[in-house]
Amino acid sequence: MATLQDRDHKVIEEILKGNGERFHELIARYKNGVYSICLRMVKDREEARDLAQEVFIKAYYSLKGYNREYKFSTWIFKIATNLCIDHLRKRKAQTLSLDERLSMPYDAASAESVYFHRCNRDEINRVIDGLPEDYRILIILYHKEGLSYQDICQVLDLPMSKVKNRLHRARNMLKEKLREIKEEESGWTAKELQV
Amino acid sequence: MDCKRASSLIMDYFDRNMDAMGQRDLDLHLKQCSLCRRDFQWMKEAIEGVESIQDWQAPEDFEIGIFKEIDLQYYRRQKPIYKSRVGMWAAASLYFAFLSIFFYLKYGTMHWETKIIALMKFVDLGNRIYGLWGLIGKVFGKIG
Ligand SMILES: [Zn+2]
Repeated sequence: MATLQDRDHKVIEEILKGNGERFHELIARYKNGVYSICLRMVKDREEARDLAQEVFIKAYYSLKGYNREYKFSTWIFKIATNLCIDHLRKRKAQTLSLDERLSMPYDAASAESVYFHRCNRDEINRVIDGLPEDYRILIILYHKEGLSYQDICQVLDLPMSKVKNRLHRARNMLKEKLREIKEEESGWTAKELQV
Repeated sequence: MDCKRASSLIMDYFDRNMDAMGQRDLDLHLKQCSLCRRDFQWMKEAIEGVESIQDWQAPEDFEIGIFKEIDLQYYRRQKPIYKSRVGMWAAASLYFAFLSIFFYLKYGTMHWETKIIALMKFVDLGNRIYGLWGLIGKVFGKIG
């Protein structure tokens, strides 16, 4: 059976032969992953949408230079990461602090029955968003998008030792932040109970 | 086993790169050390939390925005490499064919004595140029 990688390569071949409309298959497969990376990095829905669209446009016009030794997902996540890092750099240059941005626009809970689940999800989102960019991207690529260490080295152009080290530090930060949030919350709950 | 080694094994656990012996050592340490046990539980909760949340869904009009910006005919208009190479070889062959015909018509029909004279003239011209080149070299050598 053809793997996802084989199917991606077949589609790319078709596009290079002149069937540009086949590009929608690649968009459909990777749009949520690319959009999620962008949203996690820039924390703004509008900007994330524009960036993710730019990622695909750039990918389309660079398809000839795509190296088949790599997975297409690795390649497109690399484009996404680079564009986001550039974007954040420009944004920083405009002296706009990340803290001044609107907080992450999480979906409002749609049903009371999912209250506890959503609470937890929002906590996790807060924890991820609280990480510095360099660490956040590693957590997303490894634990969300399922990339291997090798893939991440290619995406971020970093040596294996650095990727491992940073990911380990990122996990520790993640753990500490979650602990802080939970303890903060339990402190509030205890106070409320006393009242 | 010390806590430092346990911490490294915890990372192996979340890398999904744990062998049976490592797993047994870690289990043993976690049973005895409450500090590492708590650390492991917090990390497990955080990482499983990250892994369980779903990707954000791209907006509905996402693809439309992309297709507005890309030219679907872009690669159709670009000539495949092999075609341009075939063209290049065909042009080169044609050029040499015409050149051969031209040389044949111009010199091929000459009498053989004329050909020898032309050749000698050519060699003589070469010698003169060589001599001139040497003279220029000497003059400039003296000046230098
Ligand atoms: Zn310990």
